Amino acid sequence: VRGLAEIIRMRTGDCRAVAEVIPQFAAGDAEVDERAAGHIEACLRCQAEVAAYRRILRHLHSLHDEGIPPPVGSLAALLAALDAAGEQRAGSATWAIRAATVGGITVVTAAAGAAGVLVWMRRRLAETG
Amino acid sequence: LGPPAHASQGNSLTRADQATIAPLPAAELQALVEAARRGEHAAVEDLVRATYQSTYTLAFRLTGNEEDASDVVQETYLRAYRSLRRFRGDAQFTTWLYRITANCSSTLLAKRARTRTESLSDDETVIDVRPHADPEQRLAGEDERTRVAQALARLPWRLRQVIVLRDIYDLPHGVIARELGITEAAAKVRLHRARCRLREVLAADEAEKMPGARAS
Repeated sequence: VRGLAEIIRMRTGDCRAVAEVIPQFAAGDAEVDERAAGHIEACLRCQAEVAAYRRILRHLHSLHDEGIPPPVGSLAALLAALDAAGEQRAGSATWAIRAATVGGITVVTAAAGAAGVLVWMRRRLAETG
Repeated sequence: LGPPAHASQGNSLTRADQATIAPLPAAELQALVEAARRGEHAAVEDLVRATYQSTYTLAFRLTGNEEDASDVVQETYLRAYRSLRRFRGDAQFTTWLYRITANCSSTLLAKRARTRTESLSDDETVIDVRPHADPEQRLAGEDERTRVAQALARLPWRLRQVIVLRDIYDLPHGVIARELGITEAAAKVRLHRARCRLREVLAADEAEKMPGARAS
């Protein structure tokens, strides 16, 4: 059986200490130690505080399903911006393909030219030798 | 944060907008994501239409005003579009969008706070000047949920962000920390402060509503 002094202490001093953990306790984010849990179990004021936090959290959670209508025309503006970004991207992709093609042709031409020169030099060497 | 003033008029969207903004079942959304990743532009557009209102809602709740919310939404989708191929699909697409929205909003609000001559600290409150936040109107029978939303709107943005992301959108502490650019421990501490502050604001509202509170 708890003594009167202990009950008074639990309802005053401990309330302040327990108040620190009540928001997490109400949200189920943190385990509270045995002493704090015992205090909450015995203290109507702290129980009311836990209930108040739980009500707030329930209301907050329910806001998830409440949509806020965007301003008129904002969707169209966004889609236009995405279109522009897409075109820019496609443009740079096309440029990259063109650059690769031109680069490839240049490399092939250069290689063919070099091979031609080599063949010509070999023939010359054979003729002179 | 409750709906903005224009929302209460119930006529803020054009009919065309209302017809085009529609959430989709998860499977259809997933199919659109796959098509968009393959580069199908029509799928990107459908994806935006399907997620637009929820993304705007989150952006509005985080920023607290229409103009910033629109900027955040635009930046969010542009960023998502550029990195869509990197989306691995191991999380829901909407969660991935929420994370980008949180990150964009945090960047924008931090930039705003830096450029302001009088920056807002977490100890200051933002006064909600929207008409429906007037105490006289509040007394006229608004329910507790509305008062919670209004109290949330009056919190400083740093505190509001963590409550919105954790207690409304249920994002894990680690994700919140990462998107806000803080440590997980800091995110938890901030969340604790935010919940306490929200409770205080609501308790003060309650006290104000008590009979004779104005006379004293």
